[in-house]
Amino acid sequence: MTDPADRAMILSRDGWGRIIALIAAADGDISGAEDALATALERAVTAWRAEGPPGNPEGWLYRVALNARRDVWKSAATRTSTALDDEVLDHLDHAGARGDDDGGRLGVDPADHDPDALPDRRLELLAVCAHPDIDPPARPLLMLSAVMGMTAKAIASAMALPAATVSARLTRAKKRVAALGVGFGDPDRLDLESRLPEVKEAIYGAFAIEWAHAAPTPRAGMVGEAVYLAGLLARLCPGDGESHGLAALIHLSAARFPARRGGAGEFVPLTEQDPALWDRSLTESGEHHLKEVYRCGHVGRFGLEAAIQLLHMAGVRTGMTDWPMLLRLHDDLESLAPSIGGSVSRAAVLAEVDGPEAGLAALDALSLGTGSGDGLDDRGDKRVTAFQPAWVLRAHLLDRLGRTCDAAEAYRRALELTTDPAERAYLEARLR
Amino acid sequence: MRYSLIFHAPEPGADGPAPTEENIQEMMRLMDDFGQTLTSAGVLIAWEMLTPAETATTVTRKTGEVVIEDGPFAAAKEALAGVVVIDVADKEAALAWAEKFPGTSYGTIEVRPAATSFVDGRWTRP
Repeated sequence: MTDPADRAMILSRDGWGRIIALIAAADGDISGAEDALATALERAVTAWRAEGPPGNPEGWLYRVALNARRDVWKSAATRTSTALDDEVLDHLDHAGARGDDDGGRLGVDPADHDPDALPDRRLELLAVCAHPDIDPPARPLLMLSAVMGMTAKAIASAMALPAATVSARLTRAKKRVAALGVGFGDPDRLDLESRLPEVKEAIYGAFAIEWAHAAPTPRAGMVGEAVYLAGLLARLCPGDGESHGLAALIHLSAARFPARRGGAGEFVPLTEQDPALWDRSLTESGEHHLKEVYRCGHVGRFGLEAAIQLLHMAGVRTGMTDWPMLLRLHDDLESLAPSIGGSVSRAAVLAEVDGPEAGLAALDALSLGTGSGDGLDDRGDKRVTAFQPAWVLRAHLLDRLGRTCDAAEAYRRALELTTDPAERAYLEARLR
Repeated sequence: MRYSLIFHAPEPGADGPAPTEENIQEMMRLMDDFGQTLTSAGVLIAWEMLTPAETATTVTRKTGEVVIEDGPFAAAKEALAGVVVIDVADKEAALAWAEKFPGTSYGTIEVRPAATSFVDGRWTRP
């Protein structure tokens, strides 16, 4: 395996996914494509050291990796003495031919080839990663591995999961993809458009990974990677409003990451954050993607959530929050994609528009018919009674009404349901 | 109220590849994080991780006389591997902690309330 530092010098972040997508498109074998690219990278280290890097490194790596892959196919065909699957050969020639056609001189001299001329099959690769046959929790892992070239170890350490677990899940997912035999170079067969919602869910999943384990120190997780994947999807589908909506949401959330913890690692809620600590370029990218959402004329769940976040951020920055507008956005979100988190946030906004009593009434309406039980409803979702943010909001609203005793009780309940140490410390301070 | 997070996991040498030394070190770090977090939250009563089931000795008087035997109560691929006793408000809070138990990546946690506990020389009633 090539050293990651070497790899970073040889191959851009975009390059890995482009080459894997092109090679795996032939037979759906992501692991095979990764092995081939690893071989090409190893050769590049030696060859480029001796001769200097070629003018178009990615074209060079693609050609060498494709040849390595062809060698594997040929030897497999000889070993089993069966003819190489016609379909595989078709796809292979197709991929190669397209490369030549699009790039003109790829087959002749990759050295002076324009990297942008390599056909881009990454949307197909993303769609395959989010295929219905792949377990939903494995989809973000597969994207990080196949599209970005992250190792199981790197993914595991960012997610606080054992490396063995991540590596087993990746192996299983890649076997599933290979078994599908999807020649994903053929977009018609993939029905790309209908797959986009799952692609977005998986990218959001990489971002919103709720830490699987309680850890004393927060981890940076996959924020940078999710920003990249969401940006990539928006570039690949420039006319799709929800792709921009997802990119806007992830950029805006990522922008606030530096402000989420104070100097001593303590939890800082959005309303108490210092806007000067928000990352400016991420915020600007988020605003840009949100404008694209409206240009596309289609606002979905992610677009609405991004708009809500931007309004909150503007409110913190200027000290003037447009609560009625926020309530309208929350109403739209509730009808489009109802969720317990969304309903609790809506109750918080309602309390700002119509007063704390209205917010409390909305919370009460939510918990009606959801007894304490085992904390799960029929669909296996958390009930409001076991949903920590609902108790934090209730405590806050009771506090504002001057019902100190009731508020303390709600804070205590919220604390009982909180496992994150920084959030516990924050709630304990409110109790005092 | 006391809850036991009862952890069942594959026995060493069961199906599948054995964990590497690195995997083991990593899991121990995650487990240590969990223990520190439980302690700082003030909910931890006791946490025992057990040696493999084959080291167990069973004691019974079912037949009227004391029978002491080497070996576990029942042989299975998965066996009791550990017990975390926590004192939390209710099942919802116990589940919130069980969700964070690192070992769930290779085993299963059973959450059970204590019927009664023997504390400071007497039985408690929940």
